Amino acid sequence: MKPRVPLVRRSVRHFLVTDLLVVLATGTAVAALVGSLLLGDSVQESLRRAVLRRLGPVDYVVRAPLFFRTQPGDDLAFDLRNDAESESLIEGVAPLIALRASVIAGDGRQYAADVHVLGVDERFWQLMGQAPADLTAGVALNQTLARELHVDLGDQVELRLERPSVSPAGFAFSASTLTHMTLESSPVTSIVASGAAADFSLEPGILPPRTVYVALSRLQRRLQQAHLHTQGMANTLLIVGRGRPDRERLQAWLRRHVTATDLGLRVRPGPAYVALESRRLLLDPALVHQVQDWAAAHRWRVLPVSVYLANVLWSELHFPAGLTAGVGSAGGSSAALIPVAGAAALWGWGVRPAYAYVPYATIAAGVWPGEPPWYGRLVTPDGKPWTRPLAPDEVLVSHWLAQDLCPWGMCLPASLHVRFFVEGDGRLLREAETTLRVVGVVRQEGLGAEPVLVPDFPGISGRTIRDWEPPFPREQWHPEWIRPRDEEYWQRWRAAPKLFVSIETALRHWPSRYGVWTSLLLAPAVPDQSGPSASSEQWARTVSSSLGASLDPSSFGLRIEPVREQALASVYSGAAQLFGALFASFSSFLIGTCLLLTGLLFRLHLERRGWEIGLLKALGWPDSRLARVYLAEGVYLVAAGLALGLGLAVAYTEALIYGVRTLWQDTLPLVFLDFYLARSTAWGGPIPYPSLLVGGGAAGLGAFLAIGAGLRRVVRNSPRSLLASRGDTAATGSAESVPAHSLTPCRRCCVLGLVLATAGLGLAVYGAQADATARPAYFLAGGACVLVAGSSLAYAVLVGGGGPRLSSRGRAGCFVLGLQAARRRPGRSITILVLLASATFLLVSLECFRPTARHDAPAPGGFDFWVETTVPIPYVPDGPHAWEQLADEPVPSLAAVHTIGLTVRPGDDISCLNLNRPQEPRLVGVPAAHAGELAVDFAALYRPDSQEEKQPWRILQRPVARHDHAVEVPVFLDENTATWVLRKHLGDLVPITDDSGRPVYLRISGLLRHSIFQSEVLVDAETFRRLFPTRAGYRILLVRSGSAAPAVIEEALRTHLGARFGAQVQTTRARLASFLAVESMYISTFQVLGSLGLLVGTLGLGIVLVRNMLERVGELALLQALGYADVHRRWILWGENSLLVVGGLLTGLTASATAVVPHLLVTGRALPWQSLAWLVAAEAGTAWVAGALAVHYLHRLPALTVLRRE
Amino acid sequence: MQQGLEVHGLKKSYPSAQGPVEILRGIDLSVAPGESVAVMGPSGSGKSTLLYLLGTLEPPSAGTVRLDGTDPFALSGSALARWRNQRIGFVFQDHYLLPQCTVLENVLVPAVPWRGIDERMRERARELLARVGLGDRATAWPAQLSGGERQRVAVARALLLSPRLLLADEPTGNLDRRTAQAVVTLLLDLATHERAILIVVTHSREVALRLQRRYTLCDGFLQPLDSSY
Repeated sequence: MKPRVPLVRRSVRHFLVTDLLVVLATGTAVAALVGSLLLGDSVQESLRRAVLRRLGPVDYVVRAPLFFRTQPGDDLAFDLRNDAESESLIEGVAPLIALRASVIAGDGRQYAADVHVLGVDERFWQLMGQAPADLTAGVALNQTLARELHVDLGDQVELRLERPSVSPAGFAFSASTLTHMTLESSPVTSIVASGAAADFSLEPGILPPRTVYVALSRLQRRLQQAHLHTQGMANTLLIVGRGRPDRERLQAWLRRHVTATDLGLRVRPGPAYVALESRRLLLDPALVHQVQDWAAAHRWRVLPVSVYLANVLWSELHFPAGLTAGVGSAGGSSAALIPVAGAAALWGWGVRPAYAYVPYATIAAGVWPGEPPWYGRLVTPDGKPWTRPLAPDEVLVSHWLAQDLCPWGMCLPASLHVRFFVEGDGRLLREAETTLRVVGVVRQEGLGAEPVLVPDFPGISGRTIRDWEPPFPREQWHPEWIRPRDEEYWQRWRAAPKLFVSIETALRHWPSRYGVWTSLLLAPAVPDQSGPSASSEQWARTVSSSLGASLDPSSFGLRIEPVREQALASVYSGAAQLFGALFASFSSFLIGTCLLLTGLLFRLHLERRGWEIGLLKALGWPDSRLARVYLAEGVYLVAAGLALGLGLAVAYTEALIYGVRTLWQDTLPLVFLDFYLARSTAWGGPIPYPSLLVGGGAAGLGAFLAIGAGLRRVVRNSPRSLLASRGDTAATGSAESVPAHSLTPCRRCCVLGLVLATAGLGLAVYGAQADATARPAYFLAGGACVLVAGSSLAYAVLVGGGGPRLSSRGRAGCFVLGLQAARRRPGRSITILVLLASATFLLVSLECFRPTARHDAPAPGGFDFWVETTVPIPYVPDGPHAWEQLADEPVPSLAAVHTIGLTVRPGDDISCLNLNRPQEPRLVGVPAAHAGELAVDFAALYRPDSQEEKQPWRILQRPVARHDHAVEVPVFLDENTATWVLRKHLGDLVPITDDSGRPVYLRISGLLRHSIFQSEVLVDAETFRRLFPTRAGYRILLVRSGSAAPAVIEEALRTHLGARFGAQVQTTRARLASFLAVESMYISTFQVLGSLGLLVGTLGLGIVLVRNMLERVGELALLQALGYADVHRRWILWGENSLLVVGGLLTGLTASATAVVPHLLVTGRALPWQSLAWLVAAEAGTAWVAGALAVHYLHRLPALTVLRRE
Repeated sequence: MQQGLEVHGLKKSYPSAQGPVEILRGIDLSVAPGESVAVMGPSGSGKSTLLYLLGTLEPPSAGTVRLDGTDPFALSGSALARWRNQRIGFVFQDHYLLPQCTVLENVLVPAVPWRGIDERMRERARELLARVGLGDRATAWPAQLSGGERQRVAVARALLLSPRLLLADEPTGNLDRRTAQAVVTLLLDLATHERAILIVVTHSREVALRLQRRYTLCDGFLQPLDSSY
C-alpha cells in the first residue's frame, strides 16, 4: 500500500516530542555500547602505538646472556651486516649493552630506581634515526628521567649498575656476592628529549621508560674492570628488519656468523691442544655432550678437565731423623712457611702452625695419565712419565709444592689437607676440608706447570697475587697469607695447578649441580689433519669457527626474538583486548535499561495512539500490515537513535577516557590513552570503524526488538478496547489491565517464583562448598534467580487482586489507594520494579564483593615491608651483623627486624596492572625454610596429599617432572592473576624458558587468594636456582618490623638500601591495597556506569508515573471534584511510587542477600554497612526524586479541562 | 441560616489574546433542598462552566454562591476540598471509575480523604449499590460492567456522603435511551430521598422534562424554559 510511507513520516512528524524521547533512549543505548567498544579500541590502539613508540624501528632483538663480539675487526654486528643475504633481510643492526641501574643525583638522596642503562655507540643513534647524544665526557638521560631526578645539563649523576652474572650464582667462584658495580659520577652531557631513542625500551610497560645512555666503550671497560671478561662485547643486538622475513631464515642468518666467542666460549691454544672454556666457568653438561659429538664428527680428541681453587693446603712436617721440633713455628724463617701475620691468622682460624702451609693453589682433576697422552704428560722427578691412574683421594703434587711441603729436605708427607670453598647461599661461602693421599711428585714442566689448564677465574689476575680481586667475599680473602714464594710462582707459572687428582676425587669433594668441568682440552685425533704445520693457534681458530657454527646458538640463549611481533601480539591478546568487552559489560545495565526504556516509551506512545490502531483495525487493516506500518515508524526512530547514538558514543568514549585517565591515575596510570575511532591490525592494517558497525548494529537491533515487543503487546488488543481506550487501555479492560481471569498468570508467577527462589537458595548453598574461583558465579547466579523469583511474586501480587483494603482515612487511605494504583498497569509497574531491583542487586552485590584490606588485619603475607631492589642484594640482611655489613655501619633500627630474601628472575608483570599479555612471567624463588612464614590464604591446591594439605608450601618441593626436552615445575600464583591475566586454571601449564633457553613448564599447583604476590609466579628457591643459576642475590626482601616503629624501619630501609641498591620500599598493606585498588576500581566503574543505568531507569520511572497521571487525568480531576485536596492526590501518587521503589529495593536486597551472605560467611568478611547504607539511600533517593518530580507535575495537569471536554 | 442554593450575579470570564471572554454574565438562581433543575443550552454556552462554579471546582470572576448559607469560595485549599467532599456530589458523562478498585471500593472512594472508611460507611455503600441495582456486583471490577452499570456506580459514589448538592454533567451522554432514563430516575429518586438539590446539565429534552425546573443558558444568562418545553 503506497500511502504507508507518508503515513509513517507524518506520524513521526506529528508525535515529534514522544518520538524524540524514543530516539534519545535508543541513542543512549547505542552510545553506551558503541562508546564502550570504542574505549576498548582506543586502549588497544593506544597500546599498539605505545609499543611502536617504545620499540622505534626495532623489529628483532638478540639477547646474549654471555655477551657477543663488538670489537673492531671482530664484530658480530658487522659480520651480520655484511652477509650476502642481509640486503634482503635487514635494514640495520646495532649492538648495545642493556643493564638496569639505580641513578643517583644531587646529594645522593635523590635517586631513581629501575632505570634502563643503554651502552651505545653511533650505530644505535643511526638505527634510531637521530643525531647521536654527546657521550664522550659524560652520560645522557632521556627527558622522563631528567624530569624525575630534576637534573639538567652539567649536573652529576652516579649509576649503580646491576652486575650481569654469567656464572651460576651457587658456584663458589661465581662472584655471586658482587651483585652490583658503580659507574663513577659523570656529568649529564645531553638530554634526549624526543625521537625514537628517547622512548626506546625493550621492556614492556605502560609508563614512559627512564633511560641513561652511556658510551658503549665506557660501559665495556667498566664491565671488564668488574672481571666479567667482556672487553669489546655487548649483550644486546637490535635489528631492523626488511619486510617480514621468516624467523627460521633469520635464525640461520645469525647462526652462520656466531662463533664460539659469541656463545660465551673461549678457545685458548695450549702446547699440544686447545682449551675450550666458558665465561660461565663451569661447562654445562649439555655443552660438553655437544662438543664431544662435534669432536667425534670431526675426529678430534677431547679431555674434560676440572680445576678448583684450594684456599689453603697444609701437611704435617716430617722431619728426617735427627731434626726435631721448633721448625715450622710462627717464628720459623723458612720461605716455605706462611709469614708470621698469615700464620697468626691461621692460628686464630684453628690451624696450628706445626705444619707446612701453602695458600691459594689450584687443583686439576682429569684423566692422568691419558692414553694416548696427546695432551702431554706428568713427569716424575726421575724423568719418567707418571703412568699409574690415580685412585680416588690420591694426589700428585707439583715439584714446587713438594718443596713447600718438605722444607729443609724433609720427607714428603703421606697426606695433604686441603681446605676449599663449596657452594654458598649466604653472605659468606662455606668451607670444606679433605685429606688427600700424596702418591707422588711431578716435575714443574709440561702438563705439570701448564697455566692453560686453568680457566680465567674472575678477579684471579694481576701483576701479583695481592692484586687479585678474587670472586669471593672480601673478608674471606687473605692476602696476608701470600708469601714471596707464592708471588714467585705466580710470576712464573701463573695459576698453573699444583695438585693433580682423579675425576672421582673432584666429583667427590667439589661437585656442583651446574657441572664440574671447567675446560675441555681438544686436539685433532690425526695431528696433521689441520695441515702439515698446523699449530695450536690454528687449531684454536678452527675450533672457534667450526664449533661455533655447529652449536645451536639458541641453546645458549642467543636467539632472534621478534620483539615487535611479540609485543603487538601481547597487546592484541592481553587485557586490552578485553577492555571493550569489559566496559560493554560495565555498561550492560545502562544499555539494558535504555533498551527497556526504548521499548517502554514506544509502547506508551502506541498506547496513546491506541484508538488510531483500533480505528485502522476496524477499517480492516490486518495485524501484519499494521505491524509493518508501525515497525517502519520504529525503524525511523531507531535510525535516528543510531545517528544520535553514534555521535554521542564519541562523546561517551571521550568522557570514559577522561574518567579513566584522571580517576584511575593513581591505580592504573593510563597516560598513554588517547581516543581512536578506528583501530589497526597487529601489523598496521586499518580496521575501519569496527565498533561503530558492531556496537551500532547490536544496539540498533536491540532497540528494534524492544520496539517490536512493545508493538506486539499493543497491536494484539481488540479494536473495541483500542477504540475505547483514548490512551488508557487499562480503563477499558485491555490485555494488561486488571482482568477478571488474572488468577492463572498469578498462579503461574507464584509457582515460577517459588521454584526460582528455591533454585537460587540451592545455588547459594552449593556455591558455599564450590571451588573458590567458581564460588562468586554460584552466589551471583543464586542471587539472580532470587531476583527473578521476587519479581515473579511481585507480578503475581500485582495481577492477583490482593493487596491492602481501603480502610484508612486521610493520607494513609490515599496512600493505600496509590498502592492499588500500581496494580492498574502491572506490566509497567513490574518493568520499573525489575529495573530498580536489578540496580539494587548490581550495586549492593558489587559493593559486598569489593575486596578491601582490613586495617585491623595482620600484615599481608606475614611481613610488614616489601623491598624490591634494582640491583640484587648479595645476601639476606637478617640480624644486626648482616645489616652492618651491608650498610657499612651499625643500623640499630634494623637490628631487631626479621628479613627473608626472595630470588627473582625478571619478567613480565602478571598482575592486573599489566594490560598486555605476559610473555615470560616474573618468577620469584621462595626458600623452603621460610615459606611457612608467609601468611597466605590458599584458594586451591593441585592434587595435594594429606601432608601437603596441612603444609601447602611442600607442593613447591615436589620433584621436578620431565617431559621430553622440557621440565615441569610446580608453582603457586595468585588466583586473580591466573584467572584474569594469564587466563589459566589450577593444574594448567605455563611455558617459559630457563637461563639456557630450554623450555620449562610451570604447573599451576596452588592459587593464592588476595595475596601480595600478584605480579609474580612463586617457585621453590632450590628449583629456581636450578633453572636460573646465574640469578645471584635477592631482589625482594620481606621485612617484619619486630619491636621498632614501622615508620622508623621504613626510613632506615630507604636510607640504607634506597640509593645503593635502587630499592623501592612499600608496606605490604600498600602493595596489597594497590592490587585490590585495581579490582575495586573496576567495581567502582561498574557501579558508576550501573548508576547511570539507574538514572536512566529512574527517568523511566518518572516517565511512567507522568504517563500514568496523564492517562488518569480524568480520575484525578474527579477526585478533585470529590473533595480530594492536593495533598491527598499527592499521597496517592506517592503510594504508587513507593510501592515500586520499596518493592524494587526489597526484591533487589533479597537477591543481594542471597548472593552476598554466603560470600561473607565463607570469606569471613564483614558487611560494608556504611557504604551499603549510602548506596541504598542514594538509590532510593534518586527514585523518590523521580516520584517527586512526577508529583510536582500534578499541578500542571489540565484536569478540569479534561472533565469539561467530557 | 437559609437552606438551599443561592446564586447571585455569577460571572465567569477567561482571558484570551483578544481580551477576556465572558462565558457567564450574571447568573441568578435559587434552588430549595429536594428540588431538581435541568440546565440546557448549545455547546459552548457555558453549562459545564456553571456546573464547575457551583461545584467549587473553579472560582467565579464575580458574584456569589451560597449553599445552606455558606459561601464556599470564602474557604481555601484543603478547607474548600473538605467542604466540597462533604456537601457536593458529582456525576460526569464519563464514569471515571478506578479500574484497580472493585465496584464497592469505587463507591467508597469519596470517604477516603476526610471521613474515613468504617463498617458503617461500607454498609452505606452496599445500600447505595443495592439501590442502584448493583448489590450483587460489589466485588466486580469496573472492566466487567456495562456502560450503564458503570454510570450507576458513579451515581452511587456521588451519593455516598449524602451531599447537599448533586451536580450531573451530561450523565446520560454515553448511554442508550433506556439506560439513560433509568439513570435519571435513579438520580431523581436518590436526590428526593436524600433531600439533595439536583442540578443536571444535559442536551436531552427527555431528561430535562423529568426534572422540576428547566433553564437554558444563552449568551451567558440563565433563562427559564416554560413548562411546554
